[in-house]
Order: sequence, then structure tokens, then C-alpha cells
Amino acid sequence: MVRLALDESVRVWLVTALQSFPVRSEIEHLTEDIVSGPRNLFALRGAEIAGSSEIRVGNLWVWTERTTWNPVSGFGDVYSSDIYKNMVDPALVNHPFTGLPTPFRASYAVETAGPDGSLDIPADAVMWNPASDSWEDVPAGSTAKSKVTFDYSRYLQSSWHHGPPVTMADVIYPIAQGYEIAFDDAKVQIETALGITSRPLYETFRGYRFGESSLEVYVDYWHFEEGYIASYATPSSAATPWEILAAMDDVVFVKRQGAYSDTAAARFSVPWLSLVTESDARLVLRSIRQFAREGTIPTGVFDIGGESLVTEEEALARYEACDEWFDATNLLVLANGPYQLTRYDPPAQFAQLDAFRPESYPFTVEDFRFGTPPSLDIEGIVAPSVALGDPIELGVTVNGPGELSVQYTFVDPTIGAVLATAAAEPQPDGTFLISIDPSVSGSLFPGLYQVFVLAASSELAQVAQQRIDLEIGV
Amino acid sequence: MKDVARILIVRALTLFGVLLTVLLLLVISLGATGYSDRLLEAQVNEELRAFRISSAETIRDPAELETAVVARRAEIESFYGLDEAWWQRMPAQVWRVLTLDLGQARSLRTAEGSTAISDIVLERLPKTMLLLTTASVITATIGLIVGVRMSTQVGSRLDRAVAYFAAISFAVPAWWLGILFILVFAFKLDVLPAGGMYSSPPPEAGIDRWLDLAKHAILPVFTLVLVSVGPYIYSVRTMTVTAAQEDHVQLARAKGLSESVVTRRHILRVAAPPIVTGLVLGLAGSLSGSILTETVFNWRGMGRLYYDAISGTPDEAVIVALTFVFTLLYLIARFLLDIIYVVLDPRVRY
Repeated sequence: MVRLALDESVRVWLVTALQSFPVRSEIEHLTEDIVSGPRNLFALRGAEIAGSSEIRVGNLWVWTERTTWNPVSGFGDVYSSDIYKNMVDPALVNHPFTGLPTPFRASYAVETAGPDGSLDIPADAVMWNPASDSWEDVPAGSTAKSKVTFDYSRYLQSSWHHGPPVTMADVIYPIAQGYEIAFDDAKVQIETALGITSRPLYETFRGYRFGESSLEVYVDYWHFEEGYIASYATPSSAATPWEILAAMDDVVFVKRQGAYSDTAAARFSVPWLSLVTESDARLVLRSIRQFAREGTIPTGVFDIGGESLVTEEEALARYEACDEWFDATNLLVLANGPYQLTRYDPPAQFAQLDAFRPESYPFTVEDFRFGTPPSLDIEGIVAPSVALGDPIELGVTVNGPGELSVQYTFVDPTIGAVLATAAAEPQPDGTFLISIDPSVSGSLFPGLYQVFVLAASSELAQVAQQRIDLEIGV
Repeated sequence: MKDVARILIVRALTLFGVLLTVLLLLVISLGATGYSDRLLEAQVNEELRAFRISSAETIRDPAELETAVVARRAEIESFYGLDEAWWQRMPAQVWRVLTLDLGQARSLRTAEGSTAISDIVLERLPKTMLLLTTASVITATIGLIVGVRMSTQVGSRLDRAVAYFAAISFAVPAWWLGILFILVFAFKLDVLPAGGMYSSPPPEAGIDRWLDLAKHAILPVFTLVLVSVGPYIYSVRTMTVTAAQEDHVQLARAKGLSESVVTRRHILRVAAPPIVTGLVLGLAGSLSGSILTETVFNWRGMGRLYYDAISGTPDEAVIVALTFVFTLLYLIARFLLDIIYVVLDPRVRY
């Protein structure tokens, strides 16, 4: 693909974007992402000032005109996401040093038949049917390329910011909601762009099997790195309590008083729902109160295997908890992570996050501390004297974490031709040996040549590079 | 009286014609030149670029991705009004504002989430008034007192000193002085906030919140006053100096009238029309905000609103509405001036 892209490119621009993030010296345990620096999930979760219980963070904005805190089609601005990511535990995260998808609040096991193979989907797997508003068995003989089994135990052992425990109902509701928005004709008429653009993703999902704390996902997707299959197949991070999502659905699709997307909001002259905006939160709260009065539980979503995952008492307790939360904060942003939003003041460009640390919360602060990425470097390579027809041998010493590897490219700089390229041989003492066949130097004119050496590590999404100038036959 | 009413009606109609002309020029400059379309298309393309990148992570089939992008493009183009030609959408916007319906913004909103442009303006206007109008009032007060005093002391040491100060004050850009003051008063002396409108954490509500807002306004107001008071003093001095040297002023003094009476009745009354013109137009102009000062001090007023509507996330409806509002403010000020001229000087007829 890279070769194809290069061949078809008119020009290739290499851009190095440098950003500065000044930090006071007394702040400790900041995690630095190898790409985005301190702008990562863990930086503020693990940061600490000795003797202080408060950290003040400056950002360009807290609120902008594009700021919309809704978990369905909001968080389009980086400033909101910078705050929100401290409040929500995703199922998987990209490791700050390798960039690879890694289990976080959920763990997973991947089984795959490869890019061209297929796995049988069990007959008791289900799919959401937006027409009948129910989970229905997948057609007999259905297959998928991969199966990912997610374990949500670490979600279910703890509670939401407003008190109720996280349950499988919170995992399941957003899955059904996604299908509703993508395939329910009436809803697609309202949230057109959202529906049309999410369809291709949902069409690759072939079935689900719900366990007490686990979820099997069958998906037509393959990647040579299993973490990416799991990342793709993640259907739900239980990021928002189901009652909030259900109430938002009620506001958007039943009462038609708000919209999930900016385009639908403009088309129907309704607010683009944002749970940090008091008037919008009140719309959602009104639906929650109506649910509480009428004893409403979303139809079909929680009915699995002939039983409902949510009792009326449980639903009522959740509705009351939302009400109390709004009374205390005037907000309805509820999540499951280590910080809760207790104050949001757009005119003052201010947001306050308070620690949320119930005993049942599965992580300790140490789980969020990765520190700075380890370094990877190549020690100075001494250029040997090479005569025409001699073998070219270069010893390379690489310092870095994990499994190391070295690749080299031998180049004639006068014409830009690659004369040889291969992996360097690992040596018993941990160093590497670049060995280029004598026939290569034998075919050269005397002059200056270059060897580019690249070192890589399995634990770092970064390469170290060194160029060696070789005088051959001079 | 009947003549005056007829004159004022004709004047009002003329000013309404000016308003129509301004809006027509706006439609031509934004629409007919293709500027607005290009602005909005650039925004659409930028949003689609971001959409394509994020969607590529979940939609792996290039054909399906393209279908999704096309669908999204149609939505966004409709959102920004690009599904209609400029000559269809812009006259409708102009007609709407002429009927005093400012309409809905596409991308700008109030902190409360309202997209009604009238709400957006009402949210920003008091903030601009606190900054710009306060500065204008202070400038005018100082300018009138000192300028008139100078006109009676032409050539004195004070007169010369103020002339130098006026030149410096006129030459110094507000944004530069603002940055300098931030460095001195916020970062070196640490006596005033560097910018923004509230402290962090901000007071919840009530008088504390207002006082906090006022505290944040001190430095920008001080900056605006310093850059405008010099020229104001000098212009008042220039306008009153001729009147101060008239024979009737000398006569009044010879009659033994006190200096304050001479100043008020015989100098200021004569020089009043041009001074009032500057004052009223200055106050009206202050409501339009100041893009640079509001940007330097991170003050979300009318100036920043206009700037955001043009450059941040382009919002054609807001540009049209703000142009209408600013022009209307100017024309109302002009109309008031016409009335005031007649009151101040009965000889004035149009």
C-alpha cells in the first residue's frame, strides 16, 4: 500500500509537528504518549502534586461553539474530549508507547479464521432487529471471520458516578441503539447522516452472544494484529448509563425536541443535545422523570433468553439517581471512570472534575502510571574501509526495550538507487551484524556510498536511524 | 414643527436606503464574488476530511466509505446552505433580517446552546458594552474635561504636553499595549488577571461573579482608554479652540462671567455639534466590539463574534445579521444626531 501510495503521489510531504506542553516541575507521574505527549488517557489520571489534592490544567478552551457533550454524535472538539477521557474507562486503549490496542477495563480473547476463512456462528447467537425491536437468532449457517469474547467483569464490579451499579444492560443498550440509528427507517429519516454512515460498520457484525459478564462478538473483520480485531469488534464500552441513552433517544426520536447530530439539529431547528447544557439536560431529565412516572423500561432491548435484564425497581432507582445528580450539579454527564464532572461553566471556560474512587473501582493510580517512553538508540557505527569487491560488514549496537531488530538499506546517493536492503543478523551478544555480499561492492564505481540503519523495538512505536557514509574503493 | 417632522421622515427614509445599500453590497461581496461559497466549501471539505479519516477506521470497504462520504457531504452542504445557490439563499437572509428576524446561526451558539442569532448577540453585547462602551464613556469624559481646558490654554506647557501624549496615544496599537500591560500587570506585578472573563475557579453567581468580571475588565478598559483618550482630547481641543477665541467669548469674559459659565455657554455650546457627533458615533461604534483587543484579552464580545463568524467556523447567517445590526446601530446613531443637531442649533435645517 505504501509503495502504491508513493508511486501515485505527485509529491510526498513529510511534516514534523511540534507541540509544547509546559508542566510545572512539582507535577509527578505524568504519562507521556509517544505521539501525543501528555494528551493521553493516562496523563492526568496518574499525575500528582505531592501534598496537594488538586491539579489545575490550562487548555486553550473548555467550551467552544462546537462543544457538544453527547455520547452518540458529540465530542467533536478536542477540548471536550480532553476532559471527558478522564471520566470514562474505555474497554480497550491504545498503549501509550506501542500504540497497539490493549485491554483496559474489559479483557478479550480473539479467535480468527484468517482473512479468507470463516467461523461458524452458534445458533443461539442473536442480532438486533430494529423492525421488531427485539433480539433475534442469527440465520442458521451464519459465519464470521473472527470472534472476540469480551469480559466485562471489571465494569460490572463497580458503579456509575451517580451510584447505581454498572450492569450488562449498560453494555447491551448502546449496541441496540446503534442498530436502531443505522437501520430503523423512521430514525434514519431523522438522523440521516448518522444512520447512513454507521451502516457499513454494523453490516460487518454477524452476531452476539450475551453472558452474565461476557459478550461474544462475531465479526467479518481480520487483522494480523489481534488487538486490532478486538478494537474493531468492541461494540460497547458501557460509557453512559442506559437510562441516559434511553432518555436521549426519547428526546430525539419520540418527542423530537433535540438531535444527536449538528446537521439534524439544523434541519429540524432543535438543539444539538449536549448534556453539559442545562436546558438540554433538562429535556433529557424530563424524559427520565416521565419514565419514572410511567414505569417505562425500553422495549425489547433487555429481553434476552426470555428474561429481562432490568427490573422495574432497578430502573426506578436509576431514574431517581439521575434526578438527584442533576439537582446537585445541573449536569447529566454520567460515566464510569475515576473522575466525575461536578461543575461546568462555559462563560468562565471552567470545568471541575472530582475524584470518583469507590472501593469497588478496579484500578489503582499505579495502573495509570506509565511514565515517559523508554529511549531507543543506535550506538555510533564506525565506517570501515572498503575496497571494491570486499564484503561490507558493520556491527550495530542498539539500546532499547523489548525485542530489537535492525534493518539496513545500502544506497548510491548519486543516483538515488537502492543497492541492497535486508534485516541485519542478530548476534549472540545482543548486537547486530550488517553483511553485504562482496558482489555488490564489486559492481560499484569507486566513491561515496551510504548505509541507512533503522532499529526498531517491539515495545516502542518508534525507530532509531543512523546514516553511515562509506568510501568504497577510494 | 411640521417641517421638522417632514425633514426627519425624509432623513429616516434616506438612512433606510443606506441600510439597503449596505446589505446589497454585502450580498454582492459575499455572494456574487463567490467568496461565501468558497468559505463554506472549505469548511465542508475540512469536515469531510476529518470524517473520512475517522470513518476509515471502521468502514474498511473503500466503496462503502465513499458512499458514506457522499452522504455526509450532502448533509453538511445542506447544513451550511450550500444546496442552494447564493442568489437563492442570501436574499432570503437579507429579507429575514429586514423583518427583524435575525434567524438561526449554523455553527455558532450561546453558552446555553441557543443558535438563535438574537440570543447570541444578546449574550455578547453586554460583554462588549462592559469593555468598549465603558472605555468610550471614560475616554469621552476625560477628553471633554481636558480638551476644553486645553482650548483655553493654547500654547501652554500643558497644551504641549498633551499634544505629545495625544500623538503617542494615537500611534500605539491597542493590541500591542494590551500585551505590554498583560506582561507588566499580570505577569510581573501579579495585580490583575492576564485575560479571560472570570477567575479559575470562577465565583458561582451573584455580586462576587460580577465583581470578578469587572476585575477582568480593568486591564482591557485601561488599555482602550489609553489608546483613545489622547486623540480624543486633541480633537475636542481642536474643535473648541476656535470657539474659545471668538469675540463673543472675550465679551463674556469682559462682562465678568465665571470661567465655567463661559466654557459651558459660550464655548461648548458652539462647539457642541461636532463633539456630540464624535461622542454618539463613538458610543454606537463601541457596540460593535474590537476584534484585536477582545482577542488579546480573550474577551468573548461582539468583535470576536464577528471574527468567529468570518474565520473560525464560517457562519454566513451571522455575518449577514451582524452587518445588519452594526449598520442599524450606526444609522440609529446618525438619526439621533440629526435630531440633536436641530435641538442644539435651531438654525440647522436640511
